[in-house]
Amino acid sequence: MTQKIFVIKSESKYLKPLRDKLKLFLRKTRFSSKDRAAFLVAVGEACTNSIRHTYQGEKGHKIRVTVQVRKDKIVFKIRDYGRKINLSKVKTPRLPRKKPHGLGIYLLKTMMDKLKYNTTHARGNELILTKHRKRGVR
Amino acid sequence: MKIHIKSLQQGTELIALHGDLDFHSSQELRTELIKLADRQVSKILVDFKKVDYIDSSGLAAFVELFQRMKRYNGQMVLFSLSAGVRDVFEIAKLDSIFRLAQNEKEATSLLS
Repeated sequence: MTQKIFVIKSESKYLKPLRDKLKLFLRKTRFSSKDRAAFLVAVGEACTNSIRHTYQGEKGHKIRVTVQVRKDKIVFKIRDYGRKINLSKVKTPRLPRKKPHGLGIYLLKTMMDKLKYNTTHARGNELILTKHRKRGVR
Repeated sequence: MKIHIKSLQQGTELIALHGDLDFHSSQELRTELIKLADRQVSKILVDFKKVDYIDSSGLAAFVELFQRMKRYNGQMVLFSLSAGVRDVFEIAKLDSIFRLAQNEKEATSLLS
């Protein structure tokens, strides 16, 4: 297993530098370019949720993104340390969405195979996103 | 994100976007798009050629513009979307609401 950890502060200007670093790392994973593009959106949405909802726009807090590349799958763990939010209770919107909010959670759920919330932390949230490697695609 | 807005023929504005459309940049875009809708610009073309990334905040800015333009029967066409950006529109099923064109010529022809 290969593991890489990225840490950013809770400010939207750090989203692009995170994506740029992630993009370089993901090139080595041999997932398709379509999958890699989806991972960037999914991780971006998760970090945006931490900035907007957990930290409520407050700057300077930590968001840690752990990427674990295994033979059969890739796992992203997005950890924040702010107020607890149970995203599993957030309803998936009906699409096509005619209101400008609520698309993020839908993109996350659609782009990844599995979403899990680690609720065991005393403080903050951890969202675990998994995508399985398609058979025959290295 | 750089946003260039150019007036074409009467009532048509061309918006050329350059950069990533994420939670950081979408607020600025949203402000510019709302200004156009407030002016009741009847036809808007959006050039995505230089946009490599869009997230739900970027999509939301266009959903809002679409809703505002609908009130005065305005028309919007997005064109030259990269495969990755088009995928995001398709996953959100917004390709069934928005008109997406291959290039500027096709986009212009879709405006009636």
